[in-house]
Amino acid sequence: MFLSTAHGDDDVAHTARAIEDSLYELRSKGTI
Amino acid sequence: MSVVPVATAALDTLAGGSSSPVRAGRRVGGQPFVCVRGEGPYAFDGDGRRYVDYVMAYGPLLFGHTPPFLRDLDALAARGVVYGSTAPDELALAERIRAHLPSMERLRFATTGSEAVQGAVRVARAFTGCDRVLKFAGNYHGHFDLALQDAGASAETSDARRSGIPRAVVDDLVVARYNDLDDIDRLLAHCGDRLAAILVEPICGNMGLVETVPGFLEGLRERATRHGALLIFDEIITWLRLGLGGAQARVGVTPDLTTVGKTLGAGFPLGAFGGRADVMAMLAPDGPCFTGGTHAGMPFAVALGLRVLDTLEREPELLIETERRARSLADGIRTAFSELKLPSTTRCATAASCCRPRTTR
Repeated sequence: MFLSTAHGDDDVAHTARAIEDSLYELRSKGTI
Repeated sequence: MSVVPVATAALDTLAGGSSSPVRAGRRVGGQPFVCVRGEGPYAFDGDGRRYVDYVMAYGPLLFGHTPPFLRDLDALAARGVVYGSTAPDELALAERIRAHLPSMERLRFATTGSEAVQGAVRVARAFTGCDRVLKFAGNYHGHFDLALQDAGASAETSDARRSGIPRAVVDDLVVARYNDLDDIDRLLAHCGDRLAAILVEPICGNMGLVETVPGFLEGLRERATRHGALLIFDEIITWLRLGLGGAQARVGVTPDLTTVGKTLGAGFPLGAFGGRADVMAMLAPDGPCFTGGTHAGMPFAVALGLRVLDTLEREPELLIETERRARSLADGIRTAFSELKLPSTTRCATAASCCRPRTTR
């Protein structure tokens, strides 16, 4: 993953939340 | 990832569906992502969906897709884009690079990073009179023959024996374990007197993100000198992302040759290699070693390179802020995995952040 100077705090926070949501979804489906 | 009809068409017209295998999406179980537009940190697909882009064209877009200086493109194009001659901007950029990377006493521009590394290896061989090169498993140095052996995730092939890389090229290559000086000593015991170069990425990004352990680069410096070989730092990813002095300034190790690229052209293809004046004197027309190219030092890309350095010299806080955000992202990913007690490894080095999770049921 590469960041740029154009990435903002909101982008990073959104990404971390999206990863967390995806992990919970995968856990709920029994994938992980 | 969005798969729009053009992706299906791509599979029929472009070999493997893309112009570079890593873009095909197969390693993550998908199809080629079709990007119709980029803006700032975002990529847009044909359905108008916006994605936070952490690919950044695999590194070069240090300022995102649309840095302000791209507004100069029309004026730059009006001067003509390639001359087939040396140009004032080329000299200016060479001097500016050397000011930040003093180890590059002489340098030569190339069109891409791959060509820059190829040139560095060739001039090292010309200077030493030896053919053998020691590189490290998982280090990526471009797509020319020698570089592709054990080059990490994005360069893996289904059958290395049928990859088209001549056996003789592989025979001139020694592949060592990264961060393992004992492994290097074991290999050098057999080939140390025929070694042209030790080629290394000061931070490796193609097998997850792996930083060097303390003493490793210093150990390479000492061993290269002892065996009469040249030490080549491939700083195509690290230079500028680690600051204007690159990795060599951070660790205080001076290589004989350095390669740069990616961020240098702000998205336009531009690379360079350079180093000790006595080594670079081997290059034609002064010496017998030829490197060149129609688009090497292309004025259009060089002009953007000057703007890249202008920006970083004028606004040093940009890299500091980006590093802070990269660490914040890595922390967020780490937390997400740990909350579910999923084993994972998330490493972060300055503006390059990489997640390599391992999950088991």
